[in-house]
Formats: sequence, C-alpha cells, structure tokens
Amino acid sequence: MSFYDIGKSHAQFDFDGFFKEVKDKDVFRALSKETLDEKDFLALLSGKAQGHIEAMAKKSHEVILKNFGKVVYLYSPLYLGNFCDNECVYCGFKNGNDIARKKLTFDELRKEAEIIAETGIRHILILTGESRGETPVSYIKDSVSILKKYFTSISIEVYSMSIEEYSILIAAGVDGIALYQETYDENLYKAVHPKGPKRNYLYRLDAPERACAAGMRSVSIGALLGLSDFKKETFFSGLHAAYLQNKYPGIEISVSLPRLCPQAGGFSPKSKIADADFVRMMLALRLFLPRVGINISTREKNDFRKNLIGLGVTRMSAGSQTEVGGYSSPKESEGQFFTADKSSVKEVKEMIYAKGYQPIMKDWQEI
Amino acid sequence: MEDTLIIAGHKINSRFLLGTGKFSSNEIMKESIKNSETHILTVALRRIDMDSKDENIMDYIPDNRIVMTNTSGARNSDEAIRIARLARQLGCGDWIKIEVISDNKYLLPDNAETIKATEILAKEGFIVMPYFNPDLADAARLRDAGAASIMPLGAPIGTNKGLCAKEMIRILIEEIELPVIVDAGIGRPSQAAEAMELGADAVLVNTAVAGADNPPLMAKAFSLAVKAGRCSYLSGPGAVKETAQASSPLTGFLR
Amino acid sequence: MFIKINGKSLKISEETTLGAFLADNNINSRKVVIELNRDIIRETSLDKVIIKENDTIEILSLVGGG
Repeated sequence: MSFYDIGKSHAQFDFDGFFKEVKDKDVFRALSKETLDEKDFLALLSGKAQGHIEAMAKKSHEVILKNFGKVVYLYSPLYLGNFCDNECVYCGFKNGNDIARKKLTFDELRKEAEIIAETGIRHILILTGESRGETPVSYIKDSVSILKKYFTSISIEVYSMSIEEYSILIAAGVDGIALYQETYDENLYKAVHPKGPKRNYLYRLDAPERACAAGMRSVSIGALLGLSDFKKETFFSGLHAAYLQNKYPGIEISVSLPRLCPQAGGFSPKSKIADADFVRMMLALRLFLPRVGINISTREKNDFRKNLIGLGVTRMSAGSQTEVGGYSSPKESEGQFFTADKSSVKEVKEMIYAKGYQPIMKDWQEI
Repeated sequence: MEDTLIIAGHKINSRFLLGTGKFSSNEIMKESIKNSETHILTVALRRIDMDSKDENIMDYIPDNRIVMTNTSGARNSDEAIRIARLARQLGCGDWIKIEVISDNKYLLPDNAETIKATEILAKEGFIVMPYFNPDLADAARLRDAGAASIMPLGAPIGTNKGLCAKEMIRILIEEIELPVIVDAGIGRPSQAAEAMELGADAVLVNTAVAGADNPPLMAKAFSLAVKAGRCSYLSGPGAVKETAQASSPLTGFLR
Repeated sequence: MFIKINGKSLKISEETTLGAFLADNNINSRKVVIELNRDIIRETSLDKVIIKENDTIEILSLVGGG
C-alpha cells in the first residue's frame, strides 16, 4: 500500500460540507482529547476553530514543551544549482524563466560552505532544481562528500529519486530529505506542473516513502500553501506524515508549511492565507501529530516567526540565501523565492534566546 | 446499533470474559456465570487428585459457551505449548489463553516466551489469546505471530488495583488492530467501565468476582459495567469545556 | 512394577492397559487427558496402550482458572 491509496479513499469526502458543519463542541472535543482522529483534525482546521485559537495555542504550547522542550533547531539552505527541466508555474527556477542558470563548482561550494559554517550552523539543506543532466546524483554525491567536512547533518531538497539513488546518497553522508508534494490534489498537481519529470504525481508522492525505505534518518514533507484550499492541503500533509510515522516509526518525520510568496515569474497565489489562518493550520497539525517536526522557513517574516516559537514550530532556517552562490556573492543570480526574514543567523539566534528558547545548531552527528 | 465483538471470525455475544478460578463452590460459580452473561470462560488444566476425585467443572458450564483453557502454570513457551495441546485433546476446542509466568514474586507474564508460544500455536490452528505485559513492540510481535486478540494486564494479576497500565493500554488500543481485552488487575466494576470507555474491546475478570462476598451479584455488576463502558465509548463523550479566556497572550499577535 | 503417576510413585501388580487402569481407579476417560512419557494418548488408543515399568503418566483435567 502507498499513501496514494489513503489519499484516494478521501476522494469522495465532502470537505467543504464538513468544514461548514463543524460546531464549537467539535472543536472542544478535539481540544480535550489526547489523541486526535481525522475528524478532530478537520475540526481544528475548520474556520470554526478560529474562535478558539487561543485555546489551541495553549494546548499546542503544552504539547510542544512536553515533546520538544524549549529549543528550536536551525539550519541553512545551500543552493547547488538552479538548472531545471520542470515548468512548475509557481517557481522562480522553472525552465521557461529567463534567469541566469548556474551550478556551483566544487571550489565555489567550499567557499559557500565555509561562510555558512562560520555562522555556527552545522545542519545544512542542499537544494538543486530538477536537472539530472546538470546536477546528477553523482554531482550531489560529490558535493555531499565535500560538505561533510563542514557540517554534521546534510539534508537534500532535490528531485524525486529511486530507493537505490537515495541509498547512494545516504552512504555518502546524507541523513535527511525534504520533498514537498506541493499539492495533494492530483488534478491541480497536473495543472501546476505542466511539463517535466515532476509531472508524475505518483512518483513524487511515493518519494518520501522511498527515502524511508532506503533508511533516511529524517524526512520532511508538505504542501505549498496557497495553490488550493490550504485547509485540505494541511489535512493531507498531516495524513501523509501520520502514514509515514506509523509505517516507519524509527524515522523522524517533519512537515513544512511553506506559504506561497512572490518570486521571479510572478505567480500569484490562488488562495491568500491570512496570518491567523496560517497559525491555525500549524496549531492543528501540532495537535494532530504531537511528535512531528514543524518547519517554518524564511519565507515568513522575522516578527511572525518569533511569535510562532513555542506554539508549534521545531525547526527554522536562518540566514537563508536562495540564490546559487548567494552566500559568497549575493545577488549573483535570481533566488528561488523571496525571503521575508533577512536576519542573519546571529540575529535569529538572538531572537530565539530573547523568547526564552535555545537555538540548536547541531542536533546530532553520526558516529 | 450493531456492535458485535468478533474474534478470529467468531461473533462473541458478550464483552465480559469470566475466569472460573477461586470460586468457593461450583454452584456459586454456575450462578455467577449465569449472571455474567459471559460468552467466553477460562479454565485451567491440572493433574487430577487420584485420591479424591473432584466434581468436573465442565458439568457446571453451560453448553453454548466458549471454554478457553489457559496455560497457567507454564513457566516457558514449551510448557505453554504442551498445555495447549493437552487441552485441545480434551476436546476444549481451539481457544487458548497463553499465560507464561516465570516470576513468582509479582506473577508478571514473560512476553518473550509468550510471543514464542503464540507463533507456534497459531501455526497449529489454535485461536491464540496471549496475556502479556502491555508493550507496543511486543503487541506488534504478537499480532505478527498470529494472535487472535491481545490481552494486556491492567495491573499485576490478582491485585484488584485497576488500570495501572492505562497509558500503555490506550496506546495498544490505538495502534493494534486486533481486539484488545484487558485481563488481570481489574478489581471493581467501575474499573471495568473505565477500560471499556477507553476503547478496550472486552475485559476478563476472575478474582474480583470470585472473591466478592456475593459473587453472582458482582458478576451482574461487572456485566452491567462493561456494557455501560462500551455504550459510553460508542457514544463519544462530550468534552470538558474550556474555561473562559479573558486575555490572549499566546495569539495576541494575530489581532 | 513401579510407575509414576502425576508425580507420585505407584506400585501396580500386573501389566495393564491405560484404559483398564483408569477404569480401575474410577476415572472417566472422557473427562481427562493422558500423557504417557510426554506423549499425548488419544482416547481411542487408551485400550491399546500397555503400561510398562517406569512409565511416567500424567492424568489431567480441567479446573477453574482465570
């Protein structure tokens, strides 16, 4: 069985009707339970729950303190290349965008790594576009070998791979993967991915599970909020995470909540998500899956991120440059998305300390 | 509303399983069985006393009940398997409660040996109901070994302490698809109701009934409590209402 | 000759079958299960099995149990 079957089993479910029918007592019930079922999760995602946002926040705060304590894990993204064969309508790196294309030479990579490592960051997320020609698995593998000297944990956010390819990268030193489904609506998925290898919905949907099967230590999934009804997308992200958690209890599963923001190419979100809605999605997810990691990137503003600490978030990116080579020579090429939080790693650390939490630069190291 | 407990494909008419040990007389046991409305009874296998041949317990058990032999006395999987095979030869059918205890101080079950015995007996076609210490990984092993249900203890056997292992049992109920029957430790009907409200599929009680001043009345009390707990579970109890909140310190930034 | 029954030594005078032994001791063979030297003896075989010197026999029946 794959998560696809679980998604399919909800195909006939009337989400809009359900959301409309949610009563206060359904929200209360969800809040009083230790373990939430799917209906409880939906109740908390619904607009009705907005009236109980403070109660949700209090419960989330208790849950996160119990499960994670007063810490926030920090990482930085490192873009290896922006060559891409896809045409994802929302992405700054899509093939049809007329932007400078580049991939790092290994010398440039070392330079980037040095600059990031100097900030104290030890967890790195490396990214490429989907170009098996320009940035093949072997290139990623060689990059990882170099980065191992600078970082103790290396995650990848690249194109979907086979179990064998994930195994190769794990052997090279990769311990985490971030792979976002973007949307769990298969028709919409086809519409926003008109061309390129990423168009294969099922291959992408099953990629996190292939990474689990290959023995990845941590796996991060999520939907790009703003492509369709964010409540449904958060619901399926949560269900997908629950599916992976149950099937692979030894693997750390995280969910990211990327809110669609402007980038090169000028795609405007179909559904605009207010801060209050965004917070509700995060809290509902936290309460549905007390042990799941929740990742908030620099797509969100510094002030806003600060307020989320203690409410649900466990991981944040910091000092992010989303251009290829952006750390050593800022603005050399176009970033993948607009970073709202331009704070340095030092500033993010100070912000976290000011909240009474500890920023964790190095969570673990394989020995 | 249709709500039938099904174990290994068999419809079980009552969610209250009764053990037949420790009753002061067979007549009292018989009366207790009647009041309990139980469908599954447990018995044990023992050497007969050559000098004074007791009455046979089976003469006091109504025909239309499932008689499940336990493997009490077994200290390891081999002994449990031996008892199970002997019980089957006696014509008790295929229902077997695995109980392996190597700890004479607390009488706690040995999960590793229980899993071993479950695997072998399930392969021999027994309907295996293992009694074990509630542990999620072991519950999964029992499931994979072919158990028909899992029977976690609520508290050490005979202690009547109730649901000491409530948190662990709650996790088993959530995670293991097999029927979960809370066995051992339940001392009062209110505790049986609590287990059922938690979502247990059934409870097995012996000492608390047999040791009551009036066992038949206690059997009835348990029977009602199990039904009440089940109804409560099915009806989805309402939540305790959150108290009013004047200030919103955590989400104030959203205003 | 001596045999061991339910853990106790017992002297029996002559060679006999298991079935006859049970009957002599007023044990209803349908309500017990017999183990001879660790092998379960089916009820239908009781009259064919002859007790030998030093045999270990277990005679078990159901009792109350939780």
